[in-house]
Amino acid sequence: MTPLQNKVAELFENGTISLMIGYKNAINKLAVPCFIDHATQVEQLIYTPECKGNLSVYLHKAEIKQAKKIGILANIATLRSLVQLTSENQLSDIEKTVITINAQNEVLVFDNMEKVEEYVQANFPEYTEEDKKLLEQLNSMTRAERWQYWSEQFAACVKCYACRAVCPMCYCSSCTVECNQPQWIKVSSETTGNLEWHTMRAMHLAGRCINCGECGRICPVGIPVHLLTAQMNLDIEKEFGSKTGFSCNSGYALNTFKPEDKEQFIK
Amino acid sequence: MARIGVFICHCGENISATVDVAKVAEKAGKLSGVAYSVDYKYMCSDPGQTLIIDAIKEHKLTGIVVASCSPRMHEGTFRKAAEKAGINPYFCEMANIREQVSWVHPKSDATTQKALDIVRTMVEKVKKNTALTPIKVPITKTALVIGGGIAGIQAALDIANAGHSVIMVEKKPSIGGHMSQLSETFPTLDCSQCILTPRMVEVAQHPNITLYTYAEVEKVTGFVGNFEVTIRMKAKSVDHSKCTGCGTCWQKCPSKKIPDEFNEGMGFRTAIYSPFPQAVPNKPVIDRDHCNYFQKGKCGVCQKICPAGAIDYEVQDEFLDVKVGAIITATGFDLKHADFFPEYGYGQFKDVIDGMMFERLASASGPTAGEIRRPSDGKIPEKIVFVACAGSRDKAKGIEYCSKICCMYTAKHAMLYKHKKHDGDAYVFYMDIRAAGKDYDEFVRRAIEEDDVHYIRGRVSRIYEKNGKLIVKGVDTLMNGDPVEIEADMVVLATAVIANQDAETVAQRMHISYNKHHFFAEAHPKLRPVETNTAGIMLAGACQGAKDIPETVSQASASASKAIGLFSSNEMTREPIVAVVNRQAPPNFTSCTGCMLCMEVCPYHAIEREEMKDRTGNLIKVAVKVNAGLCQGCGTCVAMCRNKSIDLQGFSNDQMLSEVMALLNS
Repeated sequence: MTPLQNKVAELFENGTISLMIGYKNAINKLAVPCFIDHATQVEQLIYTPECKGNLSVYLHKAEIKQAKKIGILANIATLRSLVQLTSENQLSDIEKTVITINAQNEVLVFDNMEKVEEYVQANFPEYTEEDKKLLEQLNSMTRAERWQYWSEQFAACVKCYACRAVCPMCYCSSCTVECNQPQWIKVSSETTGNLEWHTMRAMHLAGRCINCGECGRICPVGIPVHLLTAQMNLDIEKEFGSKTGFSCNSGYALNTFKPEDKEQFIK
Repeated sequence: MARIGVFICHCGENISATVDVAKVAEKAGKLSGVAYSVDYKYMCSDPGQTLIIDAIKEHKLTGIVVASCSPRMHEGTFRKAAEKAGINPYFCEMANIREQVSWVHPKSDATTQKALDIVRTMVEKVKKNTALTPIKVPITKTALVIGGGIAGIQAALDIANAGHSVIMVEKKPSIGGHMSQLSETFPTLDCSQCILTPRMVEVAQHPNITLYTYAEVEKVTGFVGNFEVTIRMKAKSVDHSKCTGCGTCWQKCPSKKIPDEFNEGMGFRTAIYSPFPQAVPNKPVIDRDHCNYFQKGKCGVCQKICPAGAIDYEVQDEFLDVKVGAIITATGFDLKHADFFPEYGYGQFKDVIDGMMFERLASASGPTAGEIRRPSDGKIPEKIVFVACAGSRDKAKGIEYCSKICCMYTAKHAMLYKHKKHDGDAYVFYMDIRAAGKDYDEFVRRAIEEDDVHYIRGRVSRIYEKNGKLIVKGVDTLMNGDPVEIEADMVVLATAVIANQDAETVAQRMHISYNKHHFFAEAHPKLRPVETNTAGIMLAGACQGAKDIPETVSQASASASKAIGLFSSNEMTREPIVAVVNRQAPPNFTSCTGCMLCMEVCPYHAIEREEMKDRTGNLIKVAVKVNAGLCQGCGTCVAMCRNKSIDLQGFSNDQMLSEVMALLNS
């Protein structure tokens, strides 16, 4: 048994957790989420570089919440989303134990969010080289070129809403896209309506997205949608100096006013 | 199926001069869902309203659009008419074709078309309207008066005399405010304390008034009729229920060299003190910052000698929670001091003083017992220069407003001086004389003509000391701008009236707005001058802007009448234009996710956390709800809500979108 499996088995045995959300092997060396509720099942747990999925998205599911004592295996992106979700009052009713594996391959167990926050702040991730390159490319385009780029990308969107389903920050029980009185966004898949949907999603995630990149990774037609919110995060960090998924009680950059903000209109 | 009536008003000729009203009525009649359409000269007149009522009944209308002036003018009128005809008043909407059309465009087809477009949007809105019921809110019939100056005193007495309870909070050890420091008052020259102290005593003795001195408002929550206020009772160190006010303690207190605030630092007081002889209550407090016992840990003289055993060094600040229905803010003002003026020596010349210091010198209870003696050497000055507009109306100094009281008190000061020193010379440098009040100009004329005060129209550029004299260099603009130089013994600066240092904090604590000079803002400069934008909080006195005593007292009575009006019924009715958080069938309960972003942006603190529990008390969901009593219907929360869980009654997303679509589909 790996140190991770040992640790999780111990947590089950001493009653700290009653459900563990982690990863297991799947075909083609893929890692998929797994949910185990007994120490005897810990042998399927893995933690490999393929374990990219953001498991915090499952914490919003009613059937998961029923478990009461939840253990969650978290990569750095998942840790950030836990911090961000805490700041948005979304995890207050869940008793959770957070498990991560650091760069030295040690298994770390956090029993409260302060420790998670501390770890995240000490190991705050950079944008990936690939994302940096893509953003640079986009920013070097003219407005017209950029519009052209995104119009072409979104033309392919089939509105499967996988980007929404995989996003830990898209936790609304009913989404604006489902409102039909009035109907804000067209249901059918066509370029303008697709653009409306992605613009709205990006606006709703501005200053909240924790850059896990899951939406871009999951897209079945390969649209790099995560770049929209990634760019917004850069803008917000530049304008307001706030990072997402960094502090459990930071407040939301777009609805707080601080005396030291440069805008004076509110005075 | 909607049956909507459209009523186009001519507004005399206000609308019909540029809009073809008959054409608008004709075309509106053909819109989908419109069952009746008519134009009339004055819809707001009695026959006009009757026309609407009869049409609703005769044509069985389900909603109406009145195309006329701004809803600010007559929305109430037409909603009442709709109600009289038997439909819910919130099925009446107004299309503003006067301010938004006829007043701003010339007569043309396009103008008529715009009027029709606006009518069409409102027809589409009415189709989406829902019946709303006014909100009833109970009222706590107690008023809180913050500040015990003349404004607070007047307001408190008026409300108390009307039979309601009043809680007065004053941060100093005594009520009385700035007025208690004044010597005489303009334009009658009667003694300030003689007219004020009876009022102070009345406050203390009034059965309906609870007075908390040496106390400050710490926190205000709640809403009109139902405020919850936390008062910090600063530790007095003296038990006022035991103290008899005999004065032995302050006679024996060894810390005797503390600058006396009441005398503007021109005298001394002790660490245990009552600020002035007529103080109400005339019982001392210990100023812990200057007391030997608190600073050095030894002394205790007052405790040893107090015959009533009232001194208690251990007592701490206490907090008192009270419920009130209305709040009157009468927190007063402050004055710029001489150290604000580099050109007049930054306050380093002892004989360059400000107006309030002069009041203390002229006052019988002051440090010189009413003899005007200069602070440096106690000599009676032979020549005094008064400088009006010191700081005021001076953009370069950041104070562009007029302090309003200085013209009058400067004339008064000059007269008081001349009455006490008949052969003295008084000079007044002024920009303009603003004496626009009852008997005010006569008062200034009297200073000039009868008391021989020399008025010089011009500014003073510099004051410096030379051979024990103050050289005042200025200009006389009525004498071709000739330079003037006066050798004075004393200079009195009529310094600018400014907001209290903590005014911004107080305003934020009360959730009321203020201007850039930190004076509190009224709801409307002309038509609602004593109310704030927060319902139930009124303003009295100079916390709103510079004011003299008569104006302060008038405003205090006006704000009291607002409170008394509020207290005249047991509950009040509010417009149901408030935000609501949706509720759904279980297991969802609501689409609100409890992210609380709306709570942070709500300027009225109207959004509350709500926990949804099952029958056994288990927490199912955390969401928010809107307190309808507090909500002012601004819609900020609606804009903030990501998944449209909040909507504004009367201006719902659905209604707004219908209006927009009506315009786009024209």
